[in-house]
Amino acid sequence: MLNRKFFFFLAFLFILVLLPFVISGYWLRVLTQTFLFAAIATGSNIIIGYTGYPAFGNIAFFGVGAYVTGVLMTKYQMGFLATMPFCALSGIILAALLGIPILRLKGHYFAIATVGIMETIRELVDNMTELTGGGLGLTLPIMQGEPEFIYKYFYFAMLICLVFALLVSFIVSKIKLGYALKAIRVDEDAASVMGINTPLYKTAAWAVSAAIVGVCGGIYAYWLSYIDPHTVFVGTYSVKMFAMILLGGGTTVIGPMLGAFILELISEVVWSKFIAIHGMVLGLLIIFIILFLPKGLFETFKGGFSFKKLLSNLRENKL
Amino acid sequence: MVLLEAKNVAKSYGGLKVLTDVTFSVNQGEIVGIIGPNGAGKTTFMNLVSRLTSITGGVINYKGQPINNKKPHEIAKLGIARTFQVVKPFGGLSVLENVMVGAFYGKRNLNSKSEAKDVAEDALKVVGLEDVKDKDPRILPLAKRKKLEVARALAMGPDLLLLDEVMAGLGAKELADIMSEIIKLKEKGITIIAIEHVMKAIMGISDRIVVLHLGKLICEGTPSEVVKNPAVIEAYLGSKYAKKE
Amino acid sequence: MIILQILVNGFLLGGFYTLIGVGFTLVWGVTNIINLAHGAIALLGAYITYFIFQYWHIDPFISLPVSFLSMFLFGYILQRYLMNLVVKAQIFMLLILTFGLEIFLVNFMTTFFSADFKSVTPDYAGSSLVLGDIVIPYIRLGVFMICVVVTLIMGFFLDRTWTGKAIKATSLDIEAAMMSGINPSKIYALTFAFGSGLAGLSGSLLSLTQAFSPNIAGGLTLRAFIVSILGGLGRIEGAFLGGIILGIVETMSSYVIGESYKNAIAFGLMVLMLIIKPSGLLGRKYYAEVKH
Repeated sequence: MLNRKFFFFLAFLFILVLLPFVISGYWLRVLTQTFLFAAIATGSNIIIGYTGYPAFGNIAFFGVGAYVTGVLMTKYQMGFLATMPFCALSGIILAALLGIPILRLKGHYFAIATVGIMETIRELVDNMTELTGGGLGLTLPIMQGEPEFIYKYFYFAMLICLVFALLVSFIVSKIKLGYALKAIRVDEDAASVMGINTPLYKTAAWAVSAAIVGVCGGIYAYWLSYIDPHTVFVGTYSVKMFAMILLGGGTTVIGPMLGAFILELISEVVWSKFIAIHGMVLGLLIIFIILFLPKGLFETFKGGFSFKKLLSNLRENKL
Repeated sequence: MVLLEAKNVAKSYGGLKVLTDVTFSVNQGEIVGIIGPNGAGKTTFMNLVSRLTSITGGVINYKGQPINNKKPHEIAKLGIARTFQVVKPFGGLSVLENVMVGAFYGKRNLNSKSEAKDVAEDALKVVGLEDVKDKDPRILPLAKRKKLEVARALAMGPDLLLLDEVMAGLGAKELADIMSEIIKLKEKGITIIAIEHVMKAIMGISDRIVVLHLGKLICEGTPSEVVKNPAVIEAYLGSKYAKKE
Repeated sequence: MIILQILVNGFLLGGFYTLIGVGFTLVWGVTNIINLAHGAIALLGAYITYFIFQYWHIDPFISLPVSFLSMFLFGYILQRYLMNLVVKAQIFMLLILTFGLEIFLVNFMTTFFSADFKSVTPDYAGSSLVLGDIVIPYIRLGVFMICVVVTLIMGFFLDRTWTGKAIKATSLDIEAAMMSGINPSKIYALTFAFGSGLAGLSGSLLSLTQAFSPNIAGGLTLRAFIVSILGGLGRIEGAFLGGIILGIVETMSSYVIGESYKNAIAFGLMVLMLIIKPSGLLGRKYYAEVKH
């Protein structure tokens, strides 16, 4: 069933495991960041791609996870790894609570509501100065060790997080739950008359994605050693995550990850050469993807590359 | 034994009365056809039973218990399955997987993938779709998609099956196929309520017919009784023809 | 008496929110496009007014038509040549498209105009109308009146002129409109042009009342969005109601709870409306979505 693809994936993973011992610190950092986004995209895809609920503001959980680790480590002297379950838990609880009112909204209303949630949480965090340091941010305890070691530690931490996200995404797609989510995505009414408790499953999907994204946030916080509301509740990350899912395709397990790799690598090249217009290029890239590749790179070019295929989306959707 | 009972069922959207005072019952093992000119409220009635919308008056009892306040998925678990007029298969899942959704989440409530697969394959055999089980349903022609709808509902293991214009758009041979499949289902013990416009077909297989017109029940009886009823003739063809009788 | 002052402030602010909401709700109601770049376009208008004032010393109220017209043109071209390309795609795709546009524009402004806060302060900036205990700055009054007048003109245009009626017709049933000889892509472009023009205009007015920088684009779009939800899609009168309500609620809560929770309050109001009456205070099932 998965044999060849699975083998390629394992080979790819193997290479990733060996890389840190041969490449420079700069590229380690780039890859670590790539893994981060890939994990966020993969986790978020459970609610976005599988279930069809565009949780545009899923980064809210990222920020919350970051602060959970930050606060637990600074105020309660907890060890880094011990904070991980709390990050996941924070995501689950928050998504479960918010899911009740917010998941009733459809399509773009849901999307914008989630963005609003992200902005609101940012504002709240900004104001809870005694707990979170507010606008001044939070400085986490710095890890002990040589820079070499630290780079590798976080590289592997993010990689493990990514593999974990992929695993969860894979399992969800294969079990009974996966069938329900995909049905909900296509036609929620038809799904409910077939016996699927749609509110419950939607919330479960969101909670799972929130847990994964929360853990990513926690690792991010410790990696950077400093967080403040404006660096973790970033709208641009949401858009990036979305573009990655679109680019790689939201219906597969590895689609988002592939989208992440491509986008991050392009991002990195542009960043280093044209720092000033990085943001503009990102914006243009997103417009490009919507115009020409809304089904994702792989779906569009399934039978082989051709310029015609790029234009087919325009032909379909032109007014 | 009475399986489904509608008592004084009414549904209005604001000032618009879609159904008024509809009362009839369906016995276990029957095939009941619901007919009536467009706009009569037939699909609305079906939506009320499957609880996609809520009743504004009256009560619907299933196996003696009112189901007005249940959620759609609870209705499904009680043993009521339905098809939709505009078929929308779950794209992205294969034909087999589509049917497995029914096996998983319907009354059978299976948890094992292999059990669900078996049930799904059986359902596909009943409607004659085993050969396309791994295909994407979106590429299937209309007749096969309708069969998929039926198979999906069947996999749920229902006691009551609601068919919403399942015969619309089918050619003669396909029609004959579906008619025999519906009879097969009846033989398996499933009670069926079918909304139809294809007269000959529905008259041919139903035990009883219910006629709705402008939201009211105007006639109920065996197919031959209904066909001669002046109110029915008037509803379809106008009073000119009704007087002829 | 301070309550009265707050109410007045809220009202004045509400007028501005109305204007920024009208363009947004019109586009949304007619073309079903949620333009996340609305705030960014508004800021473009603000920068136009700023530069005209800075380099040619032309009074900002007089240069208003310039920002309206240039953003009108910008919007027309944008819709006709970019967005019409994918208008039939899933609504959600268009959302992301406009988001991509927003990112592009915000970064464009940051790159070329810098992220520093700017504002437009003509000589009469400080003076106010004083009625008893109530202080009404002349500029804010002027802004408010312009907002009201433009909103009324917009409403009149949609109801009484042929072009306006064509826009309404397209929003109700695009196929029927086509069969009546209306060219939908032109109508969409025109609607979007109006939306952008109004956005630019409100941005110019904004520059007079507060400091602005590219980073506030998101907040502006959010306000426009909230006003549209509150008032009901495509309804000008709704935008007016929504704008005033938002203005008053925001000013009130700023006074009671403090400045920093403004966004949270605004957002909360919107979510409340979405849950209670998603079609807005004056909305029916909004035009463009009935098609689906």
